[in-house]
Formats: sequence, structure tokens, C-alpha cells
Amino acid sequence: MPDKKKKIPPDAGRAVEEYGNSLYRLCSVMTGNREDAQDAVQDCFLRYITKAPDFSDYEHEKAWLIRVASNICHDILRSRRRTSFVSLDEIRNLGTSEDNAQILGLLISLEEKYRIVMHLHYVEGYKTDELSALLGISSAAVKKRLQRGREALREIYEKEARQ
Amino acid sequence: MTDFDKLREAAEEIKLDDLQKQRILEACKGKKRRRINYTAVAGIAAALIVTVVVFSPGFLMKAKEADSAVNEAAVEDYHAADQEMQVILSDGAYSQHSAESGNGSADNKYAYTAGVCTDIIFEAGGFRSIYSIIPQSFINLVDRDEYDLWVSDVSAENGMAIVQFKDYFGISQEAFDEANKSYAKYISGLYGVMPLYCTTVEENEKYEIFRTDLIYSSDREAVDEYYRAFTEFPEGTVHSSPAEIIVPEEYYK
Repeated sequence: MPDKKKKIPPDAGRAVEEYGNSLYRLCSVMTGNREDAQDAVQDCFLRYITKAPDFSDYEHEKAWLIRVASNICHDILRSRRRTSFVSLDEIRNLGTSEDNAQILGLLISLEEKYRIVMHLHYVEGYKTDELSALLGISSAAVKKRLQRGREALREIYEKEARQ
Repeated sequence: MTDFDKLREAAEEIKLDDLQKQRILEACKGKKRRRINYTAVAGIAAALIVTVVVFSPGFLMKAKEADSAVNEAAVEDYHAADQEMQVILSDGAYSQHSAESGNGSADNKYAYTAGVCTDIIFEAGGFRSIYSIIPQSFINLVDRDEYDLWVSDVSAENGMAIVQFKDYFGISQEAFDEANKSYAKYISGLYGVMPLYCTTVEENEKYEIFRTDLIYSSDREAVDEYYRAFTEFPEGTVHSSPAEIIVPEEYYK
């Protein structure tokens, strides 16, 4: 049971320094381009300043930021009404090298629900039970999405290799 | 090196530079400043109103007339939004015309919510949108004429709309839960998101569904506390609910 009195005061400077890069990575993978990712991260920290609840610990704070960032990215994707496929040029604009753009492009081309679990698991290092709590789905569902995400990734990879 | 190692390496190259961090912090500071300014303006306005009311008795009559005009405008807004809400498709989903025609701005809560729910029963200050709504899947459980009769008599003073609804019509917990699942499915389909049991983000209120266990707890205090808006007050954020709860997919799939 978290101690409600021991709250963590919102500190934008600390939060941007600690979580800025990982949120930017998540938003980049979710939205597929730099401008939207920057907007999403900025919006996320604005909400942190104005609407963040009392956090029981730093993990709670990070989980909240990830949830808010992914919701903002959902909204951006909805408003753009575009498919999850983005061009390699856009991915190169994210600042990654030519060699790595290919593999990142495969991840970004996955369905949104696979993209987020794949990114948080393989890039940010979250375990399945942590993802279960973070995304509000069962561990079995997380594992299933990871499995399907890997399969989808493999399919796209093989298709790309054949072309 | 595996593909996932390459993936990690690729993603780690994506970083905010110092200038971008600076921009974010500036934006946050700006937001804070604006909030302080709003508080100051509100304080000055309150002081002015008190001064005018105390020193100008005739003002009260004029204020009453102005207030009446505002109320009429609000009623007109409500009826316009209500008419939009009546555009119900045969499958129970709302026509997107009402949500996307641009008739209402995002600030107009009636129009804003019309896209995802059926009826906004009243305006309950201090609570999240879900406190005041009855979605179509629930209305489908009762006779429409009886429902209309009930709506004309319901008041926010008696608590959350859906609690009053299920009490008045004697809806069983099983039937309620089925209607709730249907509403969750509708939200999930319409927005392509996982519905929520609770959110601290105002923009996400439209994704919220009901907590059946809480609605049937007969504990009005707990219900009110849970659905309180996450508004900031001078003494801090007033709520005790967890930050954000996502509805498990198994619930409505």
C-alpha cells in the first residue's frame, strides 16, 4: 500500500531529464515522425505540470508519463487517419543511421498495439508483468502480443528480403 | 548482433537535444505562468463584483437580466446538442454527423460528449463526464417513454446519473454489466482505444466506462469520490482514485 503522504512533487526539469529521451523514443516509434513525436512529448510534459496526480514513487511517475504519452500518440494517429506504415525517409529523419533505419522501420510498420509492447519490451526493457500493469492487460495478453508482434516482424522482414 | 539488439541501438539514437529539452521546459513554465495569471484575474474580477454589488443596488436587476439571457443561451445550446443526440442509427451507434459536423467546439461539453454517449442528464460540476451520462446501450434496457419521464425529473443533487437510473428502473447487475460491455465495445470500435475505468486526463474522459462493482456498492460517497473530476484546487489535486485504469480486453471482447 503506497504511502499517500509521501508524494513526489512534479518537477518538470527533473522529469524531462530523466524520462525525456525514453518518451521521445516511444512517441517516435508510435507516430513515425520527428515533429509529431516532439509535439507529443511536449504535450505530455504540459499535462504532467497541470494534471499529474500525486505519485507514490518514481516508477508510478514514469508509468503515468508513458500512459499519457501513448494516449497522446493514439490521438495524433487518429487525427491523421493514416495507416501505421511510414516511409524510410521519415524514419531516417528520426535521427537514426541508414543501417538501423531498416530495422526501426519494421517495428514502426507493425500494428499499433504490437508496436507499443514490442518497443517497451525490447527497447525500454520492461518485463511482461510490468507491461501487464502498465498497459492494463493480462500477462498472457502481453506475451501473446509479443509473440504476434515477433511473427509480424518476421513476416515483414522476409517480405522485405524477397523484394 | 540480433535484430532486437539492432532495434535497441537504432532507438537509442533517438534523443532529445538540449535545445528541444529547453523548449519543453519553456512551454511548461509558460503554462504555469498562464495559470497564475488566470488566478490573479479571477481574484480581481471577484473583488470588482463584490464592490459593484455592494455599492450599486441597481446592478442586481441588470445582473439578473444578463443572467437570464445567459441561461436562455445555455438552454438553446442544450436543445441543439440534444437534437444532435437524437440522431441515432438503427444499431444504436450515433451518426458521426453530430460529432464531426463542427457544430460544437471541443469546449462545448454537450456536443463533445454527444459523439460517444447518448444522453447527458445534467451538468454536475466537479465530476467527470461519465457522472452525468446514460449511454444508449443502457437506455435500450428500458421503455423509451418511461425513460423520457424519468429524465424530466432527475437531478444531480441525487447523485450519479447511472446510479439513479439503475435504482429507478431496477436494473439487475448482470443486465447492467452486459450494457456496460456493449458500451466498452462501442468506445473501443469508435476510437480504436482501450476503454478506461478511470483517467486523470480530461481529454480521455470520453473513453471511460462504468465500474459495475462500484455502481452496485450502494455507497454514494465512494461513487462520488471515485468520479470526482481531477481538477486542481489551491490545496492540491482532490481525489483518491488511482491515476489511470484500463479496462481489460477480455471484459468486452
